[in-house]
Amino acid sequence: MSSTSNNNSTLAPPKSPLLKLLASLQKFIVKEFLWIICGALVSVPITFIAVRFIRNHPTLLVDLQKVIGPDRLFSKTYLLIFCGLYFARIVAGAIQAYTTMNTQK
Amino acid sequence: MSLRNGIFLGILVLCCGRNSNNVRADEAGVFTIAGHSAHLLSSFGMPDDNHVEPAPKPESEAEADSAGSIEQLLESITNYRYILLYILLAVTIFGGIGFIIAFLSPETRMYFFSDQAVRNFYILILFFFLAVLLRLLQIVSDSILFFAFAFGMGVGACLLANSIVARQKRDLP
Repeated sequence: MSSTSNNNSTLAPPKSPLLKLLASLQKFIVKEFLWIICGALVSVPITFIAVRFIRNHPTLLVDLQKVIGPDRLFSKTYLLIFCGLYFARIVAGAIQAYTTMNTQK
Repeated sequence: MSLRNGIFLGILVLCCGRNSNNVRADEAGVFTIAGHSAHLLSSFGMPDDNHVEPAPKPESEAEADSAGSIEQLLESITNYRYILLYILLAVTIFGGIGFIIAFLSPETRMYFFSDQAVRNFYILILFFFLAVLLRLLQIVSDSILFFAFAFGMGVGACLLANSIVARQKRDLP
């Protein structure tokens, strides 16, 4: 493990712009992949709570079924919450990026 | 076909027809054998001799029918309204969650809340939204809202006058 980290630390940074781009792209993809996995895992308990809440409110259930259809309530709620969590993460990232940009000026 | 088989088949057809979705009902919504037989005859392409054309409806009923058909046409738009409402709700909820997550970082808080004037502006916006929300939920009436607004204006005028007087006193030799 330590030898691997030493090897990584001794590696020279890529000099070519294409290699730099590929490295940043790889970093971005790995980061997004981990976010997607975390979001998918976190969405499950939230979906259980949301479905329970929706089923306890029949008027809300009727209104919601007009939008998403009568069946597959759990999977559709799961998809909505997963997309929502990702959207929340994008909003948070955008605000932080805006702050960082204006602070560095 | 014997008479017994014919009667059995007739009963079977009637029962099946009664259980199907195409059950004929009379004007009062009551199932009748005559109406059902007419349905059977028409389904086989045979004319119904006993069929009586319904009397023309009065204008009010015709208007009600047209209103009903318009409501059916507008049903998709109503569903579209629900879709829009829930999309906006989801965007607001998850956007708010993202906002809170962003403000967990101290740099963001420092950037947005460092200036006193900006903080006062945020407080004013929050009060405005609170007033709008309370009025929409009909918790407060217009008179209470005007009273609170007038009270706020009075406080603002006092503060302004105080600041002007303090500035003049400071500039005195």
